[in-house]
Amino acid sequence: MTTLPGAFEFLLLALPARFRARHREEMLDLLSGYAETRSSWWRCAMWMRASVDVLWVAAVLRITESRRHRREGRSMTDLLLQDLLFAGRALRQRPGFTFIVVLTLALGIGASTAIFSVVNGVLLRPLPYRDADRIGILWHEFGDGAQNMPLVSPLDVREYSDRASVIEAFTMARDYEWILAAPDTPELVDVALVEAGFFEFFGAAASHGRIFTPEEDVPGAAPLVLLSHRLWTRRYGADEGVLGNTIDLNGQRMEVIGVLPDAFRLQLPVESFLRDPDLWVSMRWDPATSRPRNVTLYSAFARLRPEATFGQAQQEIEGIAEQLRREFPVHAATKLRARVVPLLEDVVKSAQGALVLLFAAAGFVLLIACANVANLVIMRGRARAHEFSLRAALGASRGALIRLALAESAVLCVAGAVVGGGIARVSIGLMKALAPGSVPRLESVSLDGTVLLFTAAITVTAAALFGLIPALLIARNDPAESLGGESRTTDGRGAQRSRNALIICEIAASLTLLIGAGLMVRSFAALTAVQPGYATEGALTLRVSLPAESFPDAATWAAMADELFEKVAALPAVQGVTFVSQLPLTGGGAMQPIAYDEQTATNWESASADRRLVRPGFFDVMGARLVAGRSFTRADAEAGNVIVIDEFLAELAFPGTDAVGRTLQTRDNATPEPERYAQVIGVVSHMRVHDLSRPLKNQIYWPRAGLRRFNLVVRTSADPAALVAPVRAELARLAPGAPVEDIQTLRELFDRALGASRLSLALMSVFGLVALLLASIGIYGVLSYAVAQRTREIGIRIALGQAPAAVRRQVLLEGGRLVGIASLIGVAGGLALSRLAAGLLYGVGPLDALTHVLATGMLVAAAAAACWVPARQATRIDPLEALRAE
Amino acid sequence: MGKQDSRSVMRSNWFHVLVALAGRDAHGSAIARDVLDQTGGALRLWPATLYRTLDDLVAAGLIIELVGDARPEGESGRRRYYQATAQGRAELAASAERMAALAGTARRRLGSNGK
Repeated sequence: MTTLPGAFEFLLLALPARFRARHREEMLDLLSGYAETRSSWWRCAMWMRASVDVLWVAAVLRITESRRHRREGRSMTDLLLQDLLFAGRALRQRPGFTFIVVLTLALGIGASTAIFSVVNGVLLRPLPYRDADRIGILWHEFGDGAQNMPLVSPLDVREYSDRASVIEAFTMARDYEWILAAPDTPELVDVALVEAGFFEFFGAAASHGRIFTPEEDVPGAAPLVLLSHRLWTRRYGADEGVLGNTIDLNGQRMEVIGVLPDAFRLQLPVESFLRDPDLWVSMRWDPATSRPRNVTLYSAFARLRPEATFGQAQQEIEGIAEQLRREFPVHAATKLRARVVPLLEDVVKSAQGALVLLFAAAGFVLLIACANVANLVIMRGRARAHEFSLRAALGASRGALIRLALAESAVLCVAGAVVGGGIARVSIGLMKALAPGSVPRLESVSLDGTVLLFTAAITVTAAALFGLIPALLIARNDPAESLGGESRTTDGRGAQRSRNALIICEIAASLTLLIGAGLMVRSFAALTAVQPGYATEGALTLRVSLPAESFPDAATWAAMADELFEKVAALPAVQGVTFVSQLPLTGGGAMQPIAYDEQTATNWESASADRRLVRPGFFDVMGARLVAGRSFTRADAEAGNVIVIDEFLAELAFPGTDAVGRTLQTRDNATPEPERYAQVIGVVSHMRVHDLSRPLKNQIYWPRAGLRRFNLVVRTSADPAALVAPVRAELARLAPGAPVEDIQTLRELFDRALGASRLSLALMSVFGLVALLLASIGIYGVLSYAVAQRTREIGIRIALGQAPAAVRRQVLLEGGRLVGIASLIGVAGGLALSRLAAGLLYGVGPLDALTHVLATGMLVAAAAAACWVPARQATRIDPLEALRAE
Repeated sequence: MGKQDSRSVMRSNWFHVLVALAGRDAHGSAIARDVLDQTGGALRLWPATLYRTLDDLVAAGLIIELVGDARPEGESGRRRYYQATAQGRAELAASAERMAALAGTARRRLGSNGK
């Protein structure tokens, strides 16, 4: 309920500024006073009531204010305001109608505004850099789909920089994780090594202190540090005194020279190793000691010339890559290809499909809402023909009547937009809470000017649309006819047909949405039920980094791990303990080039596998299934030339034969002897560590007795949280000064990986249900109006002896016909929509019969309920009353 | 707005607010609570209506907003306190008279027609 005051505050914007400034706080106080000790339902109703009150008072105050300003004459604005005031009064006299219309519009406008704000914040709004639309990121691709990463060698970056003309500047950065030592708690921090020109490239400047100069960014110079705003506030309490001091990073003293502004965040594609860092260190890159060109560890950015396009830049980059292939054998062997991708596009690509689909769905909700309101307005317009005729007969000009109709729709739409804005604001908060970190840039989504402009545009369109319908009815209306004794009690065929067409569209659209929502539900259920190849329950994980000073080599790491494992295994309820270099579902990991036949051995990097280093016992503790051979022993960890591979790599490298005992050639560019042979001793089932929805990347496991940085995994039969304190205590005793981070369970990692799907699911379901509700209201309205229109006819029929059941059947049949036609269209729409959504579905085809049947069933059930009430009304018509009424 | 026809019964919101302020000076929330009590929970003044009514009453000279030393002791500056003016009290009294007269008429007629 904490969000309601927020939405209410938003609503207060309708009030004149002076009134708002005077009374805002006290109004909020009063309302929260009313809300105390009440149920949520009561508070919800209270909020609605108070909102109507605000809108009403706002209208009255604004009109009296404008009257005061221009008492001398009746200007156009004054007339308009008078119309609005009059319209407001008329609507207040029909609270039921007003409530339904405002609520319907608010739902439609709220849904589209909320989704548009996400589309705007995530997909459309430029990244917060200077000339952000000209910045691209470089991708290098080796082999035939073997490796395709936004990572480049710095030597190649220099080649691109020297040869490019369409691209005016390049810059690069490299990621590290270093231990930031301190008197109290050491911690592992994300570090970016950047060139001196990096900040200038992105248009950033230090908020305190300064950035490095090119003279300071040369080989052999002392390293200089810039703090991110968040590290500066969290760790140093935003104290400027830290400038000029030295800090201990990975055992090396470095001088802090500046702090970057809070607004400067690196936005990168998920594949990038670089992350928005905690601190920045001068790169001091030395070409002489640079690693070979096929070691790609740097993120490289390109800025186009103002007049250039990304198409031209791509051509240029391709051309240079071709030159590089000719000039450097290593690039020839791997068939190097390069791409330059607009940075924004690359950052948001994972969210694009879902957002476009959801935006379309929200658009549907808006259309359904509009169809509903149009129907209501048409019906009310017919019912009010008499009133308008009377006004016309009393001297109101036709223009004045049309103005009045437009004013009413304007008031309705603006009220709908204001309430819808409140709904959108609340929904944005909910969306952020539902999928933290799983949709890029979601945190920057807000109701900004662009979004409000969008809302205003759809509101004005809607207002014009609804206002025109009664206005046209008025224009066509002949007062004499409406006022004459023989007033028409039924509409012409045309009016009825257009109402029916609207209703059919509405039902069809909501069925389409229901099918979409159903597919999402099925897909999410399938995702949740995925067997990832490891057990997610009852496993605590934490990340440990041993400081280099006290743990200098592999022997000390292994000794520490041995003792730690012995102690942790002895804790109560612990069933097993192991470690791994990288946990599942924590992003891309190290890729290792492999060779298993002549083709792959002569084209290094044409095949590669995801490499993880594990402690013997890993597969048991993780709950992975051994398909063939055996798992690691302690002796394997000492020998170091044996591996376990996953079933897919076994099938790829040794198709149709037993992989156990065979040899794989591997390459590790980080060691002096990069190439070596390793014997496969076991094959395990594939673990879904990258993407829950599909197997991705072949896997290769190496045994290690100890690691400098490892993720401890403790399997327990009890609550994993209870182990945190004892495990930390052991770590503090065995490795003082080692940062312990990312304390979480495997289950939490699993749940987080479902975050984006959960958001799409929740939104589609809400849209589907809102659509169903609106369509039901629409059916109900149309049928009960039709019954009311035909009261006399039905009365005569009953008088002539037709059984009530037959009358009921006739009304139901009429409703059934509408629903039947609409269902056919809706199912077709559902098929089209689900084809669009195919890429977002998992474990369920777009043609899933169960979903289609259930969605249609739900719609028919709701429609039947909506038809039933008017059908019963029809049977209750008293023939005498019906005839007398005329 | 702001003009009262002296022969008609005063607008109901105005009347209730003046009743609330007849006994003591009070701020908006207290007035709203008082009105709720007076009417046995029947009349809840919603925020915008309440503060608009207070503004109108000030404009009509029936109440004033207390400033400076006139405010109750120990109150921080946030809440606005209101006090009925002599004119306000007079109008309230006149209104109450008229209502009492009306109520008497109603009661008499019901009595003569009652069963």
